[in-house]
Amino acid sequence: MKASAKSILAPLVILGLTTSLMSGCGGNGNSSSNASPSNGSGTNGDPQVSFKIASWAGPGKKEGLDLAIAEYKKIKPNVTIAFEEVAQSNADFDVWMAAQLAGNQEPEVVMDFSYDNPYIKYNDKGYKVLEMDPYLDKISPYTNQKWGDSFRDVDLNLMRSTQNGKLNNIATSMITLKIAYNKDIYDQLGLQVPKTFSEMIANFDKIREAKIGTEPFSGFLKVTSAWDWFARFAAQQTQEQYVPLIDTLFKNNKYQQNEYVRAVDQGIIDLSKPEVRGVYELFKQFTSYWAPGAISMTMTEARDMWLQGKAVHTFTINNDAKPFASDMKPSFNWDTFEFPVITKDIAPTSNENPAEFGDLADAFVVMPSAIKKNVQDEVMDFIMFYTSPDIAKQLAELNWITPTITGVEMNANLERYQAKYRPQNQIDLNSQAILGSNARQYVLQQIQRYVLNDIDTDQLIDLLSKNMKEEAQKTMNEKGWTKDNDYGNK
Amino acid sequence: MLPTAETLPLSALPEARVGPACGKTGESSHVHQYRINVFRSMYRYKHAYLFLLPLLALLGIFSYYPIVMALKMSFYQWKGGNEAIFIGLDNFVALFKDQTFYASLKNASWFILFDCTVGVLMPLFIAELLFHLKSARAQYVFRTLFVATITVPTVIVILVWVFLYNPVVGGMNSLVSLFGISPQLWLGGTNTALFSIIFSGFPFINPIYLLIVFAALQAIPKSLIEASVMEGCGTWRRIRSIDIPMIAGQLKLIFILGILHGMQSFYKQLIMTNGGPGEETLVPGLYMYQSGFTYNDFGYASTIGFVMLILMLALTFVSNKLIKSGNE
Repeated sequence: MKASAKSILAPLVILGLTTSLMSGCGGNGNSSSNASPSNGSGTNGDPQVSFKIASWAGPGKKEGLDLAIAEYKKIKPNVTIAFEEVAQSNADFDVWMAAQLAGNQEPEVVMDFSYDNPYIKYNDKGYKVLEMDPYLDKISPYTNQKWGDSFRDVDLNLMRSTQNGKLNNIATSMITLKIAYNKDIYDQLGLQVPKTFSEMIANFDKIREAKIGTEPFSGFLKVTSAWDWFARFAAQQTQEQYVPLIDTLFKNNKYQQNEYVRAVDQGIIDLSKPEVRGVYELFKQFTSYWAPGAISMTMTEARDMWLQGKAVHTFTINNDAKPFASDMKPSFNWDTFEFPVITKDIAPTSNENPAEFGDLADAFVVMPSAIKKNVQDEVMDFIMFYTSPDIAKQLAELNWITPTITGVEMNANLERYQAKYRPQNQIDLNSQAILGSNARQYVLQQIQRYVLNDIDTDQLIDLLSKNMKEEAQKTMNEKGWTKDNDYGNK
Repeated sequence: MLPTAETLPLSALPEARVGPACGKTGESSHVHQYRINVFRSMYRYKHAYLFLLPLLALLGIFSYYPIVMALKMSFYQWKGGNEAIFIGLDNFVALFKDQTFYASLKNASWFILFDCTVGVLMPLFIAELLFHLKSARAQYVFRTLFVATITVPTVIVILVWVFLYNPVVGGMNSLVSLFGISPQLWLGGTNTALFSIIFSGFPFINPIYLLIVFAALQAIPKSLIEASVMEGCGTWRRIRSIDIPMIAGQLKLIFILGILHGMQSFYKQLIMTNGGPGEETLVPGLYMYQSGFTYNDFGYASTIGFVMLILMLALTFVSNKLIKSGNE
């Protein structure tokens, strides 16, 4: 009996164990409904309208949308808007969205990246996104002027797709990059805020000569950011004449990867040309004033060094506005200035028209396939409301973001990050970022060696030229681009 | 009473069917008999095997299956989300022509060299010191102090070292200036980054290795040690002639673990320098990680992983052959 009980019990125990082990796998605890609430008629006869906005989680995103939705509800009680953070990251959001689109269950509105992203993610895959151009001329009931007048033309231009030139998204915030400086040391040494690159270098020299125990600049080269920013800011001034030479397929004053690859393949892009080589040399000059050890520092470490007063300048982006006003408030007086003008005396091809980092974020993209007939105007009305100066100001105060909307009064800290110059148009022949992360990382590695004087400028140019051609060829092979098919354009 | 494997007649067991071929020659019948014994033994302990099955299944799914998949994906060009395209040996050809990979191997060899020398000698040294303490209480206290370091998360320790190595605000330059050494770039310098990362393991006493060696020393028969003392054997002679041969198996183990660790690990390089400056601190593990998650080339990353596996197996095999443990 005992033996038989054991022989029955043992398999049962094993089955139970196996079942409990496997039950931990798979399954989706989240069962959020993807369907928007259906439209019907309201209690007062006003048609009930409802739609959904979906995005991935971001700091303050939910709070901002909830605030805007609550305010909108006060003036449009018949409109119900649901906002859901459906993923933790952009990558996960893309996977979620692909599933929704495949099942015809996409939300009416998503908050996504700007630039070409909506075209690449949706149009290229056969899905339609709403072209907002007709709405730019409509009078916004929240500003009593054309909706398009709420934005700078240069920013709107950047939001347009490079493929078809249409405005298929409206970005509501931007990332701005400035150089933060220690005002107390400036006053102590009698320095003026520099407008040009030469003036900035002269300030660095004076700080070094003063031997006050601080470094002129705390930079970072462990990751590509600081180098990428410098390359783009400088290239916007010294290499803009290359745009029409590269932009040969779409002719929209920007260029994409296939246009760039074509230019490399045909020898149009030559890193040894003075306007390209010069950017590397300027960067090396710039980094010679950086605190030692920058190669292994991150932006956080560089910023911390500045906060401790060990360096006079550092890069800062608008995300720093909030901590710099609260838990990371500098113990000294500080301010910001824009990336300086590169004058013709140091770069003869400079247009002396500086740009600043205008990375656009939190863009509304409207999916017409999900919208019922009478909802499209209501959706755009909400977006106009969201992009009105009053709401933009509230959102800026809440989340410490820099809005793309003009005419917004901001607090003193946020004011320091307001975009003053035109946004950079991503022209950049130096970082090779357009060829992919492999190329970009290779350039960073060689720049690190260059800055440490392990290689000179000629060696750097040789290495980068060779790598650029290899990466371009690899891209052509992978994507099937040839001269005959016009690098994928045919 | 139900029959058991012992009481069942041989003919009742399915594996006991004797075919015409069996029994013709003595050798076949021995092999056949052996097979029967194995099956009989398995049947006798069937419950144990059944209990092991789920674990084996999970091991197969989460450990061995990824290895097989990695080998498979190394023959594909796979950029993550999209379709994997079969490209044969192209990834392997590209890898064997890749100078960055060879640079990473060269860097890894320094880590392996250090892990297999200082990483073995220091735990041995400390274990011997602990072993020679007369007071058991003192032994316990010091052993606990050394092993307690395992409770500190590794990332925290690494970040502390990153701070120490900061040329401006860290303490390392102040420390070395006491010895007349000029300020260094440490993690930011081409000539100093690699050894800065290696040195961040100071005092190079892995608590697990220490415990392994210490336990091995404690297992040495006391009679041997007493006999050596009576024979007038000095401490150093005793360590050389008795301790090390008796714990050779454990030393071989941590030597091989050192090889595996030196080859595979990349968390320090990732956090401290991300492989830079240039490629000075890039190691194969980090290169594999970057290939997969930075460059999105999962096929190439799988290739690197598979080649690393082969190299580690080869090094382990060679180590096994060259180093004789006490039992061999």
